[in-house]
Amino acid sequence: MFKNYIKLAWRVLSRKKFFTFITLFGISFTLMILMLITAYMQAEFGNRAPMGNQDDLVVLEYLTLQRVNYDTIAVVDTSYESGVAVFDTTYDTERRGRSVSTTTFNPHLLNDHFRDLESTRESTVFNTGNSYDIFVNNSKLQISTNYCDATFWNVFNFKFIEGRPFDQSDVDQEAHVAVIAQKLAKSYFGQDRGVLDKIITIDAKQFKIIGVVEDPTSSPDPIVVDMFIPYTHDMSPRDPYFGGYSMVLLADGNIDKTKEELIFVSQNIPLDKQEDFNELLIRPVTYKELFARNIMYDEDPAKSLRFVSWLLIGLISLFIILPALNLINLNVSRIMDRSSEIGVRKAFGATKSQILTQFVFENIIQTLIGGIIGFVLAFIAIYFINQSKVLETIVLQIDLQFFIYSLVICLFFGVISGLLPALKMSKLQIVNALKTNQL
Amino acid sequence: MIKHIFKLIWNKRGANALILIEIFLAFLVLFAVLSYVIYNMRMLSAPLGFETKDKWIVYLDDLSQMDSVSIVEMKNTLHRELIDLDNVKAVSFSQNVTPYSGNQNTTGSDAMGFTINSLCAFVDADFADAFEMNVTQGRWFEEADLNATYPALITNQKFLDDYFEGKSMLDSIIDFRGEHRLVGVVDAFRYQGEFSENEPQVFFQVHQHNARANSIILNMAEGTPAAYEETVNKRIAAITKSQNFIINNIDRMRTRDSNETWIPLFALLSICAFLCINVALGLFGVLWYNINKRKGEIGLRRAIGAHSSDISRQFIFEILILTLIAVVIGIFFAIQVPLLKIGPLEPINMYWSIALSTLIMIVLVIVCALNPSWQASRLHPAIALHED
Repeated sequence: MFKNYIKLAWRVLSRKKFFTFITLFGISFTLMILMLITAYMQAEFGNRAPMGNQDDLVVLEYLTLQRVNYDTIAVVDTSYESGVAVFDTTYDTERRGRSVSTTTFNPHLLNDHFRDLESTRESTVFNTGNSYDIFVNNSKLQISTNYCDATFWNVFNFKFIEGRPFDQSDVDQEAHVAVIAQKLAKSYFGQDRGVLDKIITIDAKQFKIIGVVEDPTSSPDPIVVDMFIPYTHDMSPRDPYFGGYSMVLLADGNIDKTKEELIFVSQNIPLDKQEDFNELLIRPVTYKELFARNIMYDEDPAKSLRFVSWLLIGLISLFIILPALNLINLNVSRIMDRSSEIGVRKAFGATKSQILTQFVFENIIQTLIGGIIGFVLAFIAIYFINQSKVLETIVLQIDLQFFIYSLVICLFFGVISGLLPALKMSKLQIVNALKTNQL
Repeated sequence: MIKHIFKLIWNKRGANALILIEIFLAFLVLFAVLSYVIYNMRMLSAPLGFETKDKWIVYLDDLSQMDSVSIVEMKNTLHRELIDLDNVKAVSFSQNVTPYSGNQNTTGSDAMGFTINSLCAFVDADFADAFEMNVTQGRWFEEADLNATYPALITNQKFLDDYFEGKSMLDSIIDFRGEHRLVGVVDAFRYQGEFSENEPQVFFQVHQHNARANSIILNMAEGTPAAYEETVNKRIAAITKSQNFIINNIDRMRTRDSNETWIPLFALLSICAFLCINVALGLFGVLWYNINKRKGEIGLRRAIGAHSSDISRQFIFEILILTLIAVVIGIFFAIQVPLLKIGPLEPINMYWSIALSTLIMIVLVIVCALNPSWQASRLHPAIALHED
């Protein structure tokens, strides 16, 4: 029986090519774009190495020092009670003007106050602010660096192609060692293997390569650099508060607790220069919040994240509903075409459920074909996006799990769009179905 | 006739409701996307205020640890040696707020009795030459300004429009981070990117010897090749005795910065275009089918004297009225956004977006209806009636 259904579905599909095209176009493009969106989300938030701990990471990017001036405003309310003036004075303090400085941290400030919090498992302090121009074979290489501590390698789980990360003793001894990214190995040495113990000269210092890591496929600042160097080489900030460094903390299961603890600690940091600054603010954020803040800036990153998530959910659901509606519209009007066919089948004794099954089956076949085309289209699109490097370091991958989810969504709409009109038709009286149309 | 069309629409309310919802939703998507696009296009079309072509920027290492005498000596040598290069037309030293650097400096003050919030940049007398800026009133900083009674100040037009509207401020004293004399006005300086808002901006003068003025802007001769960077690099390395500096091409930074907006813009537009095509194809299919099913009605109208143009007009009107109903409902919801001031965009963008979305929906529907209704109008009454 199913063989018959498949045959029939194929006939119907090939009979009205234009309508088949409309249907398949809708299904396949919806699927393709859904898959591209998730591929992007997966690249950024899919916990792929070296961001395997992403869900537990809290970032301290910037330190804000501000001086807020307060003004006391006296308000005198005068009222007359039985001819006698009564004064009611209220004092209000109001913020008037402020000067704000926001920059990255002094590493010692981070080390002294934010290390070994109760709610964190691990933390790393690093500086990604330095880049160096190097000229190799008449072309310029701009080498971005990350001066980091030894625990950096525990917070971010890089995959090593060869060699090892630098450890605590390397950092303490200010050893001239470096870990480089695969892309730098390729552009500098022309090979990504067998470069251990070679030397790269940067800032008039010679660094011995002790490790090569795989290029990351997402975009956070600390991981996309070319070269990792022990941070003891760059520990001479002039300001007691500011100075190039940021911190990433690995929360012990509860991000909110870590954020609270960080803010609590920050409130107890002594401020030496009260005349310059009287408030110290930090804003611990997650990588998701950072991402959202880039799209829609709000002082409170949690608000940005909420806004962006709702926006995304809204857009994606509209994006699913529209093609589905389109499909239903089309099927509702097309099904009348086949009233005679249904009439004949009913006359020969087909039950309502048999007719329903046949129509739903046809729609499922159609959706599956659309799904396969969508998969191929997504594959091609991802290939071209990765090739063109428009997303810079981000590498998209097809997520099979999500493909199945999207296919289920499509099947759901395929079934609905087939069911509604088929239900209408299966209720038709045989006489009416046969009356107006000739076979 | 309108009444008649309403009756026809009402008679098929089930199928028409679905089309109505579809057009309504498509309108909302179009409205949201176009608001964002229109906002960005308006930003893009506003003047940037400076040139980026053949402009290079050198970020020197932090100089604040050097003693001031050696800084003066080093800066003087740098300026002399760099301007000496064949391909260098102008050399300027400024503090770290430079185009596309991501750095920003904002100051708020109510020293003048009302709150002034403005972006600040700290630059030298050669800055306008290096960036080919557009000074609309007065002049740019001069070396002599550094010794004047009041330090000089330059603002953008937006600053004056926002805080001193309608007043001629040139040569006035403005109390902002201390008392300054306004010597010039530039049209704009949107250094945070082509898609950034035009915000009030002031320039303060720093001497090129200033220890924090460690960004060097180089105005290069037209078409200087990228390989020339090595020459510049070597010269600077020889003077600063350090490799800890980088040379960037500002035009490339601009492209990179703009791409951050262009990519989502392009992605949104293509998704939107796909949705429109999808809706259009669907509508086309539905119309084509419906009109084919109404051959009897068409034949009858033709037989009793209706002109073929009457027939096509009827079908176009039918779908147009349906669209208008959907769009009016859509406008009702969309207009709440600017009216209630929800969302980050200025209302003007959304009003334009509503107008444009309405136009696109109507054009889309008419294009979809044209072919089927034209076919319907060409039906010969005899053939149309024969079938039934």
